[in-house]
Amino acid sequence: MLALGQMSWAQALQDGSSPGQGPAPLGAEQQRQMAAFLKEKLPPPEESSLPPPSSNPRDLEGTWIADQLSLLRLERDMYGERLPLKPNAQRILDRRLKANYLDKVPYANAGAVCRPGGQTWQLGLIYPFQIFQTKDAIVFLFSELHTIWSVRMNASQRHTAAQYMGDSIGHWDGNTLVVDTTNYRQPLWIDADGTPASAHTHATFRIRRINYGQPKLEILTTIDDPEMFSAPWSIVRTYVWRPDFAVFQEYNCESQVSSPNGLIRYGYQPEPSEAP
Amino acid sequence: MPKAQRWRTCTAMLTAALMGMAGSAQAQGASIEGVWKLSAPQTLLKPLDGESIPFTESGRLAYQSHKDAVAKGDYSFDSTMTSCASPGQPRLMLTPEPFAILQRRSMITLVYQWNRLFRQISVGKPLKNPLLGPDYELFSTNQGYAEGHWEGDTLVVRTIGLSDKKLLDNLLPNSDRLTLTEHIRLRDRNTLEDRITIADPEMFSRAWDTVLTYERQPDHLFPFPEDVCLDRLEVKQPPLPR
Repeated sequence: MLALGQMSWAQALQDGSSPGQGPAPLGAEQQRQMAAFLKEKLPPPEESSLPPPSSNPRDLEGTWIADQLSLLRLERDMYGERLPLKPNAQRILDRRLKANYLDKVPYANAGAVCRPGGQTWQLGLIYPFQIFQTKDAIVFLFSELHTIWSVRMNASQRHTAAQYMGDSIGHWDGNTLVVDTTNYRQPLWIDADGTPASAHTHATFRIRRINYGQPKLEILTTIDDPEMFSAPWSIVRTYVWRPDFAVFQEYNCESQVSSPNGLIRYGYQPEPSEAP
Repeated sequence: MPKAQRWRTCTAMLTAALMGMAGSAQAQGASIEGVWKLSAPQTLLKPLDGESIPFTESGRLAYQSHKDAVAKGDYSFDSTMTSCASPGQPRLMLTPEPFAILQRRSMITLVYQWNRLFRQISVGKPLKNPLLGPDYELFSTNQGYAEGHWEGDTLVVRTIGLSDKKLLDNLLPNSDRLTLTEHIRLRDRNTLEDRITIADPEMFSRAWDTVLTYERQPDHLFPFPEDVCLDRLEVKQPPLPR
């Protein structure tokens, strides 16, 4: 995804955009490339029909995958408003864009060093994830980075130890799972381009089953982070039911990144330490 | 229909329905779902028959070189110890932290606390994943490709497609011709047994068996705290017990 993104955005930057102003609108060729990418990641099932999900709207179990084009940079919220980046956040994003598209040596985000990337970043990838529900928890298993997002249902106390995926407590609001997440171990990249959020982000996820012709999962994410944004903002994404993607490809990234020159070998550089 | 006869008919129908449910459950085997942990810490596999491991010549040489290296504090042959690479199977079953079994009709998933890894075992006919290509099961990975079926209350799992870049335990080598056959069952409600048959003609002159046992842990331990092996490695903690 990143390689395609680098091609597209780099071209867009050459077309006259500058870091921080957002890239130029994608041309027809870039749109065709991105559509081809989505098609590659979301081929039709080989079986003529897939077993349906549970009819219980509170049963989210199964295998899901994003069915929308992956946005390398969110830029706008679900209402079309520009993300309310504070000046310090804009500076960080500008620096990351410059590293990505002008220097062509991106900074290493969590995923590049084989750490869980945070919900917004992981959920923006077109790779499958599975949901399991137990009596007291809802657990998301991601094929990428073997990330696990654990939601403790109706928990009364917060974990004290900060985690890469934060500490998530969930409850049902009708048939919508509402998850409150805080206490991240490190600042987050909200998207692949590196829109920043601080470790003090309070993220809320409203997750529900929808069915517009086919079973889908809808996740409405609200980011509340006064360090980086002047106001909370929200995005919505959908995921399609694909039980045929249940067998995941092994993701064994540790051995690739842990060598002394691992980052350099894969074309990354460490981010300056003053970045939040 | 007289009342008594109606009652007998209803009872018979209910009994038949319940038997049907039981039969269906039987086809899916026993419930092995829960949180489990090795009964006693173990870093090396031991042959069940008490005999020595039936190495081939190349197997013995590889094993001895690993042993010699460890004696010198050299773990360069072991990518798990040097870089937190997935221990793969069956070594993940030796990790000292607990794992959870999530049992569903067509897949059994083992979620390990250790570095957030999970293992998938297809049960019954797996749906063909178009993302993975037609011969995915032959592509070598550390976890391999696992298919299972129930024989009574025993889950029988056959794993192939295992990489030769990993180990069976802290020392034992394997080639990419390794096949694992596991018989997983409840010995009693709180004890899980995994009898593993290791067949690898390059490393062993015959197949041999080992047994691992696990004790049931409280359900509330799952979900596990987030474990990041690379972070432990950065502060000089060994990824696995030595």
